[in-house]
Amino acid sequence: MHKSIISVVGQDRPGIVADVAAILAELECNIEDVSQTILQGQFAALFIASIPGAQSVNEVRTSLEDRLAPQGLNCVVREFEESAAPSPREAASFVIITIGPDAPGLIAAMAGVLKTHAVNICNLQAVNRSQAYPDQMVMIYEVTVPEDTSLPALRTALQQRAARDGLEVSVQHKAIFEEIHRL
Amino acid sequence: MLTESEVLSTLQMVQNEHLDVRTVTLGVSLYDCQSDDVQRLTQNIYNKIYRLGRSFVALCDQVGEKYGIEVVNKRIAVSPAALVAAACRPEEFVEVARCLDRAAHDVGVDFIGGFTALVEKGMAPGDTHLLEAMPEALASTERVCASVNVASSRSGLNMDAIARMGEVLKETAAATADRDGLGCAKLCVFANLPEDVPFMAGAYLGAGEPDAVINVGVSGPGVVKKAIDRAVAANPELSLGELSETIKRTAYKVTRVGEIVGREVAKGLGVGFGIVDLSLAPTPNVGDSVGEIFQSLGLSHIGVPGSTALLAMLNDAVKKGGAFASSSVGGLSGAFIPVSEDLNIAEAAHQGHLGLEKLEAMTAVCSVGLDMVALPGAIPAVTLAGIIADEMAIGVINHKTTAARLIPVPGKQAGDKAVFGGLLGEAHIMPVRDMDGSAGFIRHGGRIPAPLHSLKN
Repeated sequence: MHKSIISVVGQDRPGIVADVAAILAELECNIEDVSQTILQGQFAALFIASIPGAQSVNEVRTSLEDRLAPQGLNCVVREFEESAAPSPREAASFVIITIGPDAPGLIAAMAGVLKTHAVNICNLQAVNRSQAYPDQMVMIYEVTVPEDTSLPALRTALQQRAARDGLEVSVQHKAIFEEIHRL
Repeated sequence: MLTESEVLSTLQMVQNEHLDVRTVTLGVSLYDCQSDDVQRLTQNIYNKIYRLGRSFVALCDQVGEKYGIEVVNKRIAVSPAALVAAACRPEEFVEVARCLDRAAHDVGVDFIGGFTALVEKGMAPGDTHLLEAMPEALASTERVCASVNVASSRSGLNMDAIARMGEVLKETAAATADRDGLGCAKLCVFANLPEDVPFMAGAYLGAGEPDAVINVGVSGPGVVKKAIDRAVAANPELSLGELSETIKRTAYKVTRVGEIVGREVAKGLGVGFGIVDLSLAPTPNVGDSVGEIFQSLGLSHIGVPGSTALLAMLNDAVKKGGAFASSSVGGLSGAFIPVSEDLNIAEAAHQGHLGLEKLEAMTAVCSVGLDMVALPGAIPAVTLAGIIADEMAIGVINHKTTAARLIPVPGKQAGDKAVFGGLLGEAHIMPVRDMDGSAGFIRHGGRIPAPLHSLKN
């Protein structure tokens, strides 16, 4: 038993998940994990599926590509290796929000600062035309900040970089959002 | 993963609706500081407050920064000075107040509460001496807050103490005449004073409390107002029951913020967490006003007919939301209607929409009472005592906390402006009808007995 990681991208329509899942079921692959989203009408999903010993990743890839490509869906299939990841550093979950005019390079700028401070992005959302900020681009980064990263230094670096693009930035521990909105 | 609305609505509450933690208050017991020597007593008091409080302000700021929620005030509440310093003479009580002021200054807190006497059933020498020291103590300190409990539902009203407080108010105003009687803004007279209030001027640490404890006072009138505005904009036909539900849900959110911040500060200090006080506490800023909530709910001004019913609804909804959000609710936990501290209320009073009698009626359904009310400087002590007695009676009969924070502004008359500054704000002096009609009643003194607790009508 080994695993594959499968990404599927294409124009959204009803039935994509059904088709992908049916192909994998025929191949006796078990979907262990899946994350799917739709961005501006485009479907994107990541599947982690276990493959029975008799099958190879190539066979899975071929089956998927043959049947999904005619529907305009691109897929990438790779062997999933349970990497011997370095033991995770103690980290806290924070939410970083930037608000301001849209322009090329905003994410590159913020993500660059985060990278410098060893901050990992777990989730990233762009919110256009929100009710609260209708004329601005809002980016929501859910991140983990290592314990040995200085929060004030990170905040200052983000604010200084954001100011160059006319962005306002806030950095708040994730717990405050959960406490307010979730039972 | 958080949703867009969870993130953005929280951000809006903080950035546009004045969501903050109004006060984190560190309670410090001073009973183990007692001594028959005032120098040793004040040294013990200073040492204990400094030891427990030296990292308190920095920690509050750090936690506030972590969550993106400002802790506006950091305060300390101590055991009642009248008990801790029971053997002191009046001039020594002034020394105790100055010691508290020095300790507050050195640890960096905004206010320190607990220059307090509990006299609902009678006065001991320590209480008498503290009251005698009160005017000078408040005039010669910056951060000390005082409170006196003169009535309770179990004991009734101590009318001798109430009469004495009328005099103390006059003396305190005179001692701070150059600042519009500012000393009286730091002095609150109570019925049923809770032992865990984090808000000033009533904050003190009760005898049943731990050696050190963190109590939190939330804020949020701006958040409540905006929530009502949004709900009404979406559906102008909403009923009051539905609007009360909106308030309840909002109070829940505000309370959660207070609790998470308070618990983290308590943990950081290595002391227990006490309570969240749910009170909607306004500031003298537009958009951070309890009075504006009245207008959002359809009244032209706070004080017009309908105000008492509206306030009852608001207070109840806040309590319900808060009680669901936290199992550690205490203090006063209601809506504050401090006249000078709320721009909108101050303006309504100035324009004549809100009179003293209506204000008093409203205190029957809210916390805390006649709060930050500027009165004519010429008002007699017995009339002040009459106003206090009326307010205390409301608390005693209704089994609730009520308070009077009255400021007879020296040299000024009804309609003149009194300026207290900062969070204490400013207000025009409210007229008092029949300023000379209470003396005969107050003169009798003694105690109005505790009420019957059956036959409730």
